[in-house]
Amino acid sequence: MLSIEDLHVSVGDRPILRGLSLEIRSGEVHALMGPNGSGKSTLASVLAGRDGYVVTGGRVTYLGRDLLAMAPEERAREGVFLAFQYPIEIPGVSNLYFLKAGVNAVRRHRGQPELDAMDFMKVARGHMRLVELDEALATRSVNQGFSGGEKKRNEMFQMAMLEPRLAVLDETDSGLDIDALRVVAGGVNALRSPERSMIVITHYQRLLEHIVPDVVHVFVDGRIVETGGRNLAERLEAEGYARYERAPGARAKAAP
Amino acid sequence: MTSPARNRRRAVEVPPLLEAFRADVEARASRAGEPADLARRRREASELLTREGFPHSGVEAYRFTDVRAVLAQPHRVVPPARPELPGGNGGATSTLVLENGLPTPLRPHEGRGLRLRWSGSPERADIAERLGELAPSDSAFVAQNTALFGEALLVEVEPGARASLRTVTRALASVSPVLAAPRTLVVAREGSSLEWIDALEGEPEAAHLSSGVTEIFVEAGARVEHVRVAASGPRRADLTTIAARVATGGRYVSRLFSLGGALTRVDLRVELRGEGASTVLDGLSLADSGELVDHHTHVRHAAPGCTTEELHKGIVSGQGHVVFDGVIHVAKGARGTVAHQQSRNLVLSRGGRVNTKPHLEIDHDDVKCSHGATVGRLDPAQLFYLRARGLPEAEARATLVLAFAREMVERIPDRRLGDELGRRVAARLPGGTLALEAL
Repeated sequence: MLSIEDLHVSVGDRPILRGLSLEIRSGEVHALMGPNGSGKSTLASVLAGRDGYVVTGGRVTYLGRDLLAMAPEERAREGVFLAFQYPIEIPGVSNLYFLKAGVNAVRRHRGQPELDAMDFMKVARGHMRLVELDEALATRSVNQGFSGGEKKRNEMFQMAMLEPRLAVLDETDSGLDIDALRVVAGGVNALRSPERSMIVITHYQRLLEHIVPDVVHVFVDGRIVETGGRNLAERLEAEGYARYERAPGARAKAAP
Repeated sequence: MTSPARNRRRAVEVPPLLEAFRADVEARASRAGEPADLARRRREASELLTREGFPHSGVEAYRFTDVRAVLAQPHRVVPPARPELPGGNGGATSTLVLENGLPTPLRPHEGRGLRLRWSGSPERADIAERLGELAPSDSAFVAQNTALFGEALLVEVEPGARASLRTVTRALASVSPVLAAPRTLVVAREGSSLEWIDALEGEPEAAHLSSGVTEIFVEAGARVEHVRVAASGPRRADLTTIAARVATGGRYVSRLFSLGGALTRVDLRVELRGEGASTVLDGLSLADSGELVDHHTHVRHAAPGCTTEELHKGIVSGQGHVVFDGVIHVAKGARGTVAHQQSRNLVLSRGGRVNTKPHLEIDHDDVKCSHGATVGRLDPAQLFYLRARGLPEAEARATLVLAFAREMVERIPDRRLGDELGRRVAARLPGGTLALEAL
C-alpha cells in the first residue's frame, strides 16, 4: 500500500530524513519509535503534504501512485489521514460542519453519494460515542477550547468519519492520561481492518500496550535503524535509545 | 487627533458649484416654518464650509482617504421636503425607507414607546433643539450635512420602553449622481431600549454621495443597539459622522458593517459621560479593488467606572484599502476605566492595503486598558488542517475568510439579523457564498 524508498527530506538547509525506506502492506500496523528530534513527525508531515519540507531524494508510492506529487486534499481524498500531534484551532469554523465538507469531498471522490445533514449526524453520533467525544464539543469551533485529551479524541473522531486507507498517528498518545489513552487506543483498534494500514508514531511503548503493532521500527537520525516485532518495543522501553545514538556532536546537528 | 488649525490648511473647494450650494442652503433656511435657530445654523455651516472647504489628504485624519474625486462630481442635492408621517406615533417596531435620503411613508406597527417625527414638527421642538449638540461643529462634513439636510428624523424612545426601528436609505439611479444628507437624532429616554438597524442601500448603478450625520443620546440606564450596514456599489460614497453620548449606566452598542463602495468614511465618536456607562464598538470593513473603507473611532471616558470593548476587523482583496484609526481617551478622574481595543485585519491579495492605528490616551492611573493590531494573511497551519481533511484549497481559504468575518456577525444578539447579514457578508467575500453553503 505504501512504499517509501530512500527518502531524503530537508527543512531549509538542514537534512532531517536521511535515506528512509519503509514498506507497509494493506492491513498492517507499523509502530515508529524513536527519540525526540529523530524526524518522526517530519515523516508524518511529508506524507500528509504539509508545506515547508523539501524532498531532496527518494520516492513515496501510495496505492501505485506518486504520493509526493499530490496536493494535501488529494491525498486526503485518496485515503491518507494524518492525526496531528498538535491539532489546529480554527475559531469560527464549526467542527462538525467542516468535517461534513471534508467527508463529502472524500465521498464525491470515491464515487459515493454525499451524506445529507441527517445521515451525517447519525454516523457522527456513533463515532463520537466510540471515542467518548462530548457531543457539545462537536458543534463548537474546531478544537477551540478543547483540552489536550479532547483534541486527540477529536482527531480519532475525524479519522473514523473519513475512513482512511492509510492513517498516520503522530504522537497521538502525547498529553493523554491513562484513561484517555485507553479510550483513544480503543477507537484505533475498532478501526483496524484488513483494508486499512496505520503508522503509529510514538516516543513511548505504553501506547503499544493498547495498540499492538505488527511491526516495530526504531527511528534514529532520520532513518530506520532496526526493525522487529512487538517485543522490540518492550526492549526499547527497558533500554532506551542510547545504544542507537551517535556521538553527541553529530547528534546535536540533527536535532531541531 | 488633528488640531483644527491643521484642518484649515489648503483645503479643497466646496463642490458642487458654490452658487448652487448656497442656493440650496438658502432654500432650506428661508422656507416657511423653518425654525429660526436652525436657519441660523444652516447659514453658519454654509459659511464655515465655503470658507474652510473640505479636508484634503494632507490633513492627518484624511491621510489615506482622499475625498476630492468624490466631491468633484456635480451631485444634485435632494430637494427639501416635509412629508407626512402617517400613523403619528410609530409602534414599538417601525420600518422607514428613505429614498435618496428622503422618507417614504411610515408603516406603523402595534405597540407603544417609539415616537418618530421630522424636525419641522412643532410639537417636537424641544428635541429638534438638540440637533448639533453632539456632532463636531468643526467638521466640514457635518457642516455640509447641517447646511443641506431636508428634515432631520427625530427618534424618541419613551422612558422604560423597548423599541426597534429599521431605517433604509436607498439610492436611486434615476436621480444620479445625487447628494443625500440624511440627518438623524435619537433620544433613548431613561431606562429605555432601542434596537436600530440603519441600512444604506442602493441600485447598483446609482451614483450616490451620502453625507450623513447621526446624533444619539443614551440617557441614564438606557441601551441602544445600533447596527449600521452600508452596502457596496461602484459609484457609492458614504461620508458619515455618528456621535453618541452615554449617561450614567447607559450602554451604546455600535456595529458598523461597511461592505465596500467606492469610498466609505465613518467617523464615530462616543462620549461616556455618566458613571458606569459602557460602549461596544464592533466593526467589519470589506474592500475590494477600487474600494476604500475608513473607520475612525473616538471614545472619551469622562466618568468613573466606564467600559469600552472595541473590535474592528478588516478584509482586503484585490487592490482594496482598509483604514482604521481608533482613539480611546481616558480623561482625568475616570477611575476604574476598562477599555480594550483591537484591530484585526486580513490581507488576501498582494495589492490589498491596510492602515491601522489603534491608540490610547490615558490621563488617569487607575485604569485597565489594552490595545493591539494585527495585519496578516491566512494562517498556513489552519489552511493545511482543512486541506488535510479533504477540503479543496479554494474552499479551505474561503472557509477561513468567512470564519474571520463571521465572528462580527455572530456577536449580533438578533439571530435573524445575524443570519441575513452573514449571507450579505459572504456574498462580498471571495468564494464566500460557496463556503457558507458548505458550512
